[in-house]
Amino acid sequence: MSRPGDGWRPAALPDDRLDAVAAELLDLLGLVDRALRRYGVVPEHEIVAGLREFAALPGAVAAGVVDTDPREPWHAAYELAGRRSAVLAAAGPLARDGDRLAWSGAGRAAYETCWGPLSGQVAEALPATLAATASYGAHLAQWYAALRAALVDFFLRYGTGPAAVGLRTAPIGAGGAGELAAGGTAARAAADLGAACFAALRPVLRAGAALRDDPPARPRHAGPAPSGHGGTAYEVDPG
Amino acid sequence: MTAMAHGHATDREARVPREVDEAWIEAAAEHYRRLERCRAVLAERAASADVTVRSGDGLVEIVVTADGVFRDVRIADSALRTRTAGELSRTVLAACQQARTAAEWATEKLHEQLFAGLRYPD
Repeated sequence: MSRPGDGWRPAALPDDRLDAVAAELLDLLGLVDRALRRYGVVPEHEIVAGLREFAALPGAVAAGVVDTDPREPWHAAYELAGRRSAVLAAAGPLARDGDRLAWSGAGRAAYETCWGPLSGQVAEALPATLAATASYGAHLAQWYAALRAALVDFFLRYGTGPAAVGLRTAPIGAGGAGELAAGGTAARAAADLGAACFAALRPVLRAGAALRDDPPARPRHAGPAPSGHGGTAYEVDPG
Repeated sequence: MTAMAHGHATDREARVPREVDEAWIEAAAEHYRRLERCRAVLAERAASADVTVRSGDGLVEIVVTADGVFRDVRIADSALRTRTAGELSRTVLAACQQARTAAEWATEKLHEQLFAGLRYPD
């Protein structure tokens, strides 16, 4: 079993720059969503595959990412790691005292029946479970941070590019011949930006699906546990 | 414990409206194609619709298509006798500017006639 050291804590989160550009980003991708609704979707454009995959418009997806807060799972992971350290610190003396017996016979046997599973729970299963959960929280926090960083990268790359400028200057909502004439260009600009946004998020979201489906902890059987304490621990690799 | 984390992720996912499905994509693609057809029709009609603008003194006549292509500039012979080159240049320039405005107006009129019922989902 791979287990973190007693003093393990989740790695620090990277600097978050999304909040600084979130308003501009959501404004641009809101225009993308509006243009896609208003002028339709260019057939054969790669945005079509992205829409099928994400089942949402780019602005809606981005709003969901902006709404994430990596600090929440990170703080939870940090707190759990601290509790695990406390359990490990308490488990050592407890095990020494619990194993040091000066008596024998039927009482000793009855005592061992309870003490064995309990000592295993306190010394191994509970710390492993806390470590697994802390590890999961740390991975989740890093995943949130990666999602947010991907959105920032998209915005830095495309936020002031030709497609963005074209979309911002398009007469969206103006009506008449001018809007009809400009609608095709706006639709293509929106498709380009939306596809680029999906492309930026796609690898991170896939990593998130892997994290969800195969968390960094595998159940192992810890043997019988005292009533009310659960019987499953996790092998962990907090990375 | 992991179930709690899964629940958290599910809450996040629920905040992203799942408004796009295959029917939406097909309707959006068809809407795009319809607008493309409208643009083609309008462009064809605008290219073949001539707009003629005369200067206030009637000496200069500009012919422009509704899509803004200048097709002819006609200057009356009398203009060469009664106007200086500078006056005539200004008259031609003003007529061209009026012609461009008239072309835009004509395009809007064509749009109204052809696509009065055109609506954009928003």
